[in-house]
Amino acid sequence: MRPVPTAVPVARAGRKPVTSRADLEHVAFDLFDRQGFERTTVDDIARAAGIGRRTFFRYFPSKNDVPWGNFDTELDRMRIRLDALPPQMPLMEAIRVAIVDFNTFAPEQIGLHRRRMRLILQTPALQAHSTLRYAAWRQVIDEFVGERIGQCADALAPRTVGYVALGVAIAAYEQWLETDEADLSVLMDSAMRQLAAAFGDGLAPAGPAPGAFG
Amino acid sequence: MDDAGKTGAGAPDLPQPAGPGRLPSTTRHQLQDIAMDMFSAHGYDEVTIEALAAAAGISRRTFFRYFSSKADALMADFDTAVERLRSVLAGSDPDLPMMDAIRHAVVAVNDYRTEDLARLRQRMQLQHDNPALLANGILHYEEWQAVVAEFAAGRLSQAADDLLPQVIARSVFGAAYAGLMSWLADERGDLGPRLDGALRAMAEAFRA
Repeated sequence: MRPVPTAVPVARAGRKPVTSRADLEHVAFDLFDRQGFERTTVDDIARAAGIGRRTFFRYFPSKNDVPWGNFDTELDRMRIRLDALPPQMPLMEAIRVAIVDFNTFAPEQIGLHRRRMRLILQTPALQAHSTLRYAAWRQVIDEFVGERIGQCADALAPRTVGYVALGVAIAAYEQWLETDEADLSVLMDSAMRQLAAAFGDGLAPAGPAPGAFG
Repeated sequence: MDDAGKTGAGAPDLPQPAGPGRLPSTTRHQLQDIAMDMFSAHGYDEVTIEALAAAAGISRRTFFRYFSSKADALMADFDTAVERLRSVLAGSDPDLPMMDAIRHAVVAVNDYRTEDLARLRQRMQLQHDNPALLANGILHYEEWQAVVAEFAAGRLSQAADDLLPQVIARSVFGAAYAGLMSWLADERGDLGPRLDGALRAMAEAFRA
């Protein structure tokens, strides 16, 4: 976990310096909106935030990391949440609960989160970086599933569930970004439930593939 | 890579497409293979469209009749798979449950064999090494998912951009991608059974 400074050095040139990661995000997002993500440099963001370049890097390791906010901390939270769920809870139900929880935000955070996700999902230049963050997210799911079904986290079944869960979450996010009001956590919940129901609809018996979840 | 003559050495001459209409897909695939080798040898950013066209013995204009961008030249096989997926899904038995129909179609069109592995691996490596190629690849993956979403929407009598068709498309793609990654990691057997295994694992997870 990277350290988050509680205070930043003295402002330069009379600007009021930002003093939190979230404020720095807002400043950066305004610049991205105005001049585009790719054309905005770390120096631009630092200048607009009234902080030095070095201070910027105490908040974020790179420009690409800005839209991801506190992602590492959030992943730790999701891991803890999953581990705390009762072992008798069905696997996909546990994942649904964890995903919904992971994507539940206080009303005052929603605006920032919307801007964040719009950037992440709609900026081509961010795609390569995003795959690394997605992989870290999937890893949490893979490890949970592997543990539950007694397989390595990188075996086919756990990895499949990791990719599927990510796909569901992204589908819900895209739906959410299309509308102004839709409640994100309700969409996540509905996405997982609807997919589960789609499988309940007359599935052919499994073939010779070993029953990984049996 | 400005010296087109140098990179063109030894490359096969491709026939010029005759008139408007459908372009020969074999040529599209030959062009893809040339692009893949040149990107791998010299780096994607270093290869110009002029050099690519010259290596293939065609003009820049003709190149653009096959592909709309340099990055797209890498995706000919994938684009073909998308079109096959569309037609296999369209012809699927209406009595087959939706998720089974999708699984059958995904397995049927991804009939990669061990001998195709090198090319597929080469594309994945290029996408891994170059953010622009990765971003472009993701756009083509979106097409694949759109095909699945349209099929699911038809079955469900919903719009393709409604939540459930989108969730199905993204999750099926995710499962198929997990199957592909698993296959690339150990190269045992053909891809089809691995995809079938991944899509069954998804179904099983939801029923467990």
